[in-house]
Amino acid sequence: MAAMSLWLPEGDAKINNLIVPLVLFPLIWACVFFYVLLERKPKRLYLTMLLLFLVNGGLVGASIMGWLS
Amino acid sequence: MIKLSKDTTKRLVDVHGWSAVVLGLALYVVVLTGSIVVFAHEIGNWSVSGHQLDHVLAGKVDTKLESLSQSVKTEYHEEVGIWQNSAGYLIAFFHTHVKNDQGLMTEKGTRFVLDPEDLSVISREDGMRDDLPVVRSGYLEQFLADLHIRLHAPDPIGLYLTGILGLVLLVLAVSGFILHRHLILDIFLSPRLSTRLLNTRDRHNLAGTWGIMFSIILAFTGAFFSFATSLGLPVIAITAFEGDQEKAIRIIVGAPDKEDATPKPFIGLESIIERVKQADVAGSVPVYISIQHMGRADAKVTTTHEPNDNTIFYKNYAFSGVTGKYLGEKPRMGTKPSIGSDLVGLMGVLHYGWFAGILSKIIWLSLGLATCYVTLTGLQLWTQRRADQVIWQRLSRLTAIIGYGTAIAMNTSAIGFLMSYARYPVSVESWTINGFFVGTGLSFAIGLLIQNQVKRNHAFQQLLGLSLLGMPLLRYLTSEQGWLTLISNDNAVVVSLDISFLIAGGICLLLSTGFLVKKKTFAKEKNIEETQVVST
Repeated sequence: MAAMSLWLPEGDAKINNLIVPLVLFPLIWACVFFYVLLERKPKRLYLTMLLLFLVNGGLVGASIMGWLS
Repeated sequence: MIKLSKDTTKRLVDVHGWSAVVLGLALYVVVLTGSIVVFAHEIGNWSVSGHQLDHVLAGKVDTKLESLSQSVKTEYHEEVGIWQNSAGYLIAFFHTHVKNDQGLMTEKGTRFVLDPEDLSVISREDGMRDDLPVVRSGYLEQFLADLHIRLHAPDPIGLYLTGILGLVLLVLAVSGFILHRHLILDIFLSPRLSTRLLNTRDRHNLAGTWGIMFSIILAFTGAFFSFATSLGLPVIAITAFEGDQEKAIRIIVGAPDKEDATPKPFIGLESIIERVKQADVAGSVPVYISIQHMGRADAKVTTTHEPNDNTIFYKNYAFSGVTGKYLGEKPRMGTKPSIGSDLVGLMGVLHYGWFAGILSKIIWLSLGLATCYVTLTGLQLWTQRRADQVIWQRLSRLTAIIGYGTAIAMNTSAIGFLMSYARYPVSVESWTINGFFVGTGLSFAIGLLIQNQVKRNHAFQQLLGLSLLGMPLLRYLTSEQGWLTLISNDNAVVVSLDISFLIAGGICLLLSTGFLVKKKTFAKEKNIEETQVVST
């Protein structure tokens, strides 16, 4: 959710990238939760979660360090 | 039906069951209070025996507003919120925006409560929004709403709690949906009477099938409202605005980039309200008015209007605060129409169920109560399957205490409010809270002292019925407002709620006599009893 605000289009009002992640947060959480619950192959599960963590964490980290501005 | 492997089904059943066992009762409290709070405005109106005067904002308010603005600090002219509460009192809150002790943005200013008849000042309070004393006339409504929104825990903990419960409801509903084998068929399911366990399971499936989509919608929108400001906004502010929450709020709310602090006289509200009432603008009296930068060249007035026959959304209209010129419709979020703004509007419509007036509110109440029933029957199912274990029998008893007790405590809080509001208005807050604790205490006493389950449930039903019957009676005795007077004063909603409470109370008392319920003898239990009789 946090990283979404960095890549989602702003739209004319320049707020879509801020509001849409807030609205979608429960849905994103539920998708991740049920994916973890239903995935049969542990290896694929770990890889997917690691990838998600790295991509999101990297974007958030880069934003906090000011590398994206 | 969704085909699942044995392992996956077992995992889903475990998650479905254990999340309900751990947080089901707290979830029940939030959903039950939420179902009732759909009618918060009507309950607030009922609690003070109706409006004193409607549409005060359409009257002469400019002179008073001017004199109030001169009596507060100039920094509080940054924004003024004006609205009429359920009791009809006009509230004007002059404020600025500051950070609180937790580092979250909040409002600080002066709040006036005005008599709707002559606009005389009933009370004036200064301070941070969360620290201001309650507005007594609207306290019952606020008490019930706060119970639903944050379980009366301090911010942001309360919002985190209800947000987590929203996510738990989402897990329960989605896992229930995946596990459900006959979703369409179960809409017409008639609960079997072969065994108590099957009967409970069928009732759980039946109510769950009817309410599953509603539960998913409620859970999704509820989690959004809890987490949006308490967690989401600070996180978004960190990534998109280097932690500047003030800037994030300014952009989301849609404050203008350029400011002009040149002093200019404020045009007043009367001409703006006359204009917004016309059919080509809103065609109605606003329910809320916000004035930004009062007394400056960039002053702006935004009026908010309830949904009507043409729209399911609350609408905002903007006017210049210097010339009174109509500037057009103001999006809920930002300065231009956007998908984000529409999505937030949709969240409100779906969560509060206000899109078709009283009809949609009744549907929302009914489906909310169905969700409560699903929660309770789910817990019953869990404890009945483990009937030989003491710990789960304790949970069964606790389920009955919380199940009946929450409703009883809400009623006794209303009784506490009614007893204090007319005679001791200064104590309205403590009486309402004490009323809630009295109801909770009585429920625990019944639950712990009466050992026989049938007698215990009858005692709960009697107490619930008596508290429901007592509410309209006490309202009449304390306010001396009879039904004929209320109807002639355009306060029919109070009469409707009186009648609803009387009917509900009567049903509870009838249930407690066992008159309405055919004695259920489950086939297998009957066979066992018959075998025992033959063998003796």
